Amino acid sequence: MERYEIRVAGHLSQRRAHALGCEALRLLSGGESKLTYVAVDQAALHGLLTRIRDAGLELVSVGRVSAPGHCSAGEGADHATAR
Amino acid sequence: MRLEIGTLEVPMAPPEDTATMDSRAPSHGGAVAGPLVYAKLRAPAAGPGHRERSRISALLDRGLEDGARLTLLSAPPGYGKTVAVVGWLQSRGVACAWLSLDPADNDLARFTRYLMAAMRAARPEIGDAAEGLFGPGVSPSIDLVGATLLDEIAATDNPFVLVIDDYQLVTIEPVHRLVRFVIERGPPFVHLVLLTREDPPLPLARLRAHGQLVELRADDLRWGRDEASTYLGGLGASLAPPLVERLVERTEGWIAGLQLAAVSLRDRADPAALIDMFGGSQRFVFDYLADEVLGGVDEDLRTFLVRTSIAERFTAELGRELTGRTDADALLERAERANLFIVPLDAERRWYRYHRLFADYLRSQVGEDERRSLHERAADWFERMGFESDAIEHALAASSLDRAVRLIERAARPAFESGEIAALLGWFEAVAADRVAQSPDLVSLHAWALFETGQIGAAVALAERHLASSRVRGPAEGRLLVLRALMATVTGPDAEDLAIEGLGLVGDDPLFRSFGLLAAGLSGLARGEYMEAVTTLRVAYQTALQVGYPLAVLPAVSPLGQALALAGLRGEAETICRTVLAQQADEQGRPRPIAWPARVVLGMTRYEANDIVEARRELEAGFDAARRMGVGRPVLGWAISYLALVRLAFGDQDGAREALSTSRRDLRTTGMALPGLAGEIEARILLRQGDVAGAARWADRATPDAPPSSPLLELVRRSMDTTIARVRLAQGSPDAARELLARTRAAQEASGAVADLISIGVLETACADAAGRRADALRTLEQAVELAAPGNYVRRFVDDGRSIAHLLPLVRAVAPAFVDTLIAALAAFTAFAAVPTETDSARPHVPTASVWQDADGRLLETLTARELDVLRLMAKGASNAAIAAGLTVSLGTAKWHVGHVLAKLGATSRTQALLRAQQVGLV
Repeated sequence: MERYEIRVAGHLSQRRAHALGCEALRLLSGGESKLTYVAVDQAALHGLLTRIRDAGLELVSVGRVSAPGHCSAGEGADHATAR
Repeated sequence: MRLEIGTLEVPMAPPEDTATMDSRAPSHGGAVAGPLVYAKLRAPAAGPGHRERSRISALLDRGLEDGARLTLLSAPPGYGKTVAVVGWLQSRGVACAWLSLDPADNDLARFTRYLMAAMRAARPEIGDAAEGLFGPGVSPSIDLVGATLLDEIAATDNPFVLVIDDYQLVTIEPVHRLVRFVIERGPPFVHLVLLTREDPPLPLARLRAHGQLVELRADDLRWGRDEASTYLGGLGASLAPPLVERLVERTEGWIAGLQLAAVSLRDRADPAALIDMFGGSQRFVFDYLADEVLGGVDEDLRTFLVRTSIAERFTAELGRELTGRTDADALLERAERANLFIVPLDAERRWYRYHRLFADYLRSQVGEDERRSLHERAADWFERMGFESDAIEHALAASSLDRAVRLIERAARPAFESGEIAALLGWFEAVAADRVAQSPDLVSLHAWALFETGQIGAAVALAERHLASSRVRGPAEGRLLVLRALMATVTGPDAEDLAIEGLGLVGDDPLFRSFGLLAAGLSGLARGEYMEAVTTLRVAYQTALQVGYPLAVLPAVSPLGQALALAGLRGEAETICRTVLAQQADEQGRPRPIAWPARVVLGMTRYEANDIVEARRELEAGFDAARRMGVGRPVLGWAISYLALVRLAFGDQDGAREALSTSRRDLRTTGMALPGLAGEIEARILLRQGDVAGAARWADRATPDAPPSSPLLELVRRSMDTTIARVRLAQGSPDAARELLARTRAAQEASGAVADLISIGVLETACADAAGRRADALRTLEQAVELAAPGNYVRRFVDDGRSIAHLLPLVRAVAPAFVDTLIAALAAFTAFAAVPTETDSARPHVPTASVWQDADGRLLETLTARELDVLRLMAKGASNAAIAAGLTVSLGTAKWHVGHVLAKLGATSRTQALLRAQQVGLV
């Protein structure tokens, strides 16, 4: 299990983040969204990247979070826009 | 070349207006795996407001110019790739074949079926041979599929554009390789257009460097302000220029965003307010606008859109199932009128799908529990409608494994029979292994599918594991046993027992019965029990005929034909081969590559009958096709020694040796060769060259090199002993030869190896004659003639009986017509086939050759320039000596050339040769 942070352009809804299979969403002030994704393996990560591509989202960055817990599941909830 | 724009009609819609059609059952080919989804073969209709974009069309036009091989539209979803191409095709009046892929097309057989069907929808004269390449027991190479496909395309000379949409869904290498083959070797009048969300693994850099690639990427496809303004106006959302500018800026010219904006702006009193709010928001454009759109429709329509979105494609009827609304038709019509990203897939407006981005958005509105229940209902409906593959996908999405397994159980067999092995393995992967293991039927087909894809080790392991458990019983156990038997035929001693046990269990299932009988027959053949093998293999062949599609007989043809030819029933073998070849002929009457086993065995039977011209043609063509087909089944290796012998008959020693070295290679890759035969044939080549010492060196050391457990060991030993006897005879030791032959004869008689007994008889005659025992010689010769006459085994005498030609008239009474044929054949051979004694330095080396045909239009051998000279002198009645003088060569060389001319013309005399030459206008 590896934890990844993925940034995409535009603010996403919780619903969209959930549909992508991400466990946390944080909306950043510059108009980007930071998604947290727990990947079972590399194949799962590539599956997520494909879903991001298929949603027409613009990918900004992908990074592995070395220390687990660095970005906890609840962290983004405060900032997420509720629909 | 350039397509003649404007003069072609556009068959955008296939001739029949149904969403699906039964795949044309190919007369020659394999089973049919369910209906084709016809909607995939149609270019989607452009929605309202979409008109041709002249800027984009001008870019696409470059694809039709000289030298362009591929047009690639590579951009994220929502950039209007499909619509751009559709608008371009319509405005230019270019004919097109259209294929929209879905994830299930990651299977070479399935992809090929759809590709051919798409091209036939545009050009009905294109045939279906490439589809016939797939089936159980055959795994054609990409080269062969590609070459066959291009052959079929050649049936038309009308240009067309081949469009493949959603190419990013292709993830398997074989399909990429096939597409690459078409790009690299396709005819110039077919232009390929790929629409994809990611750059495909094709040699793009090279195509780019050679100016063969026309590329349209996201930046090319973005909508500018003027284009957007016209587009929005066409949709009834005319905006002031500054508003358009802001909209284009915010959506970055992304048409999916513009279209959503147009829909949500249409009925607003104050569009500027929305655009202002939108402009200030940092929300993801699509979600923002989709929320607006969905918020603007009533609850009924909203529910309809959301629920139907879970299906890749749907009808009003499916909408009714998913929403429980009886007015689903009306809702669908409203959705279409409101331009809600809904795409009709057929002219009848029966099947629809959403734009994939919108579908993606709608699906995100469905809760987890609802999603499962919707997929459940969709699986139900697709199952009732007979769309098994869709039903399986929905059952899997609903995590409804019991249903999925039940559906896969039903769909697996047709998929297996039509060679859609990758699709089959994909299903097995999607269902957990332990669930597959609970279904005996699936386990057995899983093992077979692995076997068919060359994963022999995995297939054996799976079969062994399940045979050891008590769960797999009945027909499924029978199928696993038959699989084990087939794999054991060459290497294991227990093939027949396994086959018999399996046959007792498979039940009334002609396909697997024929495989089981095949395994039993091959095992009999490997043990040298020829008559028994013939009986079993005849039944295998008859059983395969009952399977219902001609492909199924092919695996039985080669073993049965070889067994018949070895058992003295050459005529029956030839008849079967010719029947199969007639069935497996294409429109021009040429045998299809898949029929290679029949060609190889026909070549063997023609060699035995001393028709070396046809023999060589069939053997060469058959082995060539076999290699291209990527043979997956072990084929007993006598056949390859015939290829060597027939090349030797033409004096082509290098070619004969090459066949042998290839056979060593094939032994490893395809099991096509019989171990140990290569050395023996090499010794026969040395004997033919007069190198008795070299042959003796082999004979002194010869030991069979088959694996110790193989039943073939004994057969290889007999075959080698016969050739050691040939060497001893040539060394002048007829007694040593006689001893070996006596031993071999006893074994071959017990086996019923009639063809080999003829050779042994001829060699024994030569031994007796050499030892001065005339009476013995005549008695054995009589026996050999009696054995050989019914099956017309002439060549056995030509190969081994040159020294006893003088005895033949003395046994004429046994079979007068046959003996006369033998005498003529040997006379032609001994008169002309002398090996040249000097190198012909005076010969001008003219490699030009003429290829020509006989009266039946069959391609004959190629005569070299020197041979044509010889033929012309022969036509003037020149003797060998006169030919030698005329060409300033030695008498031996002249004889050598004359012999070649006769052999190549398939003639046994000079008169016959000249007659044939006249028929085809050579002299």
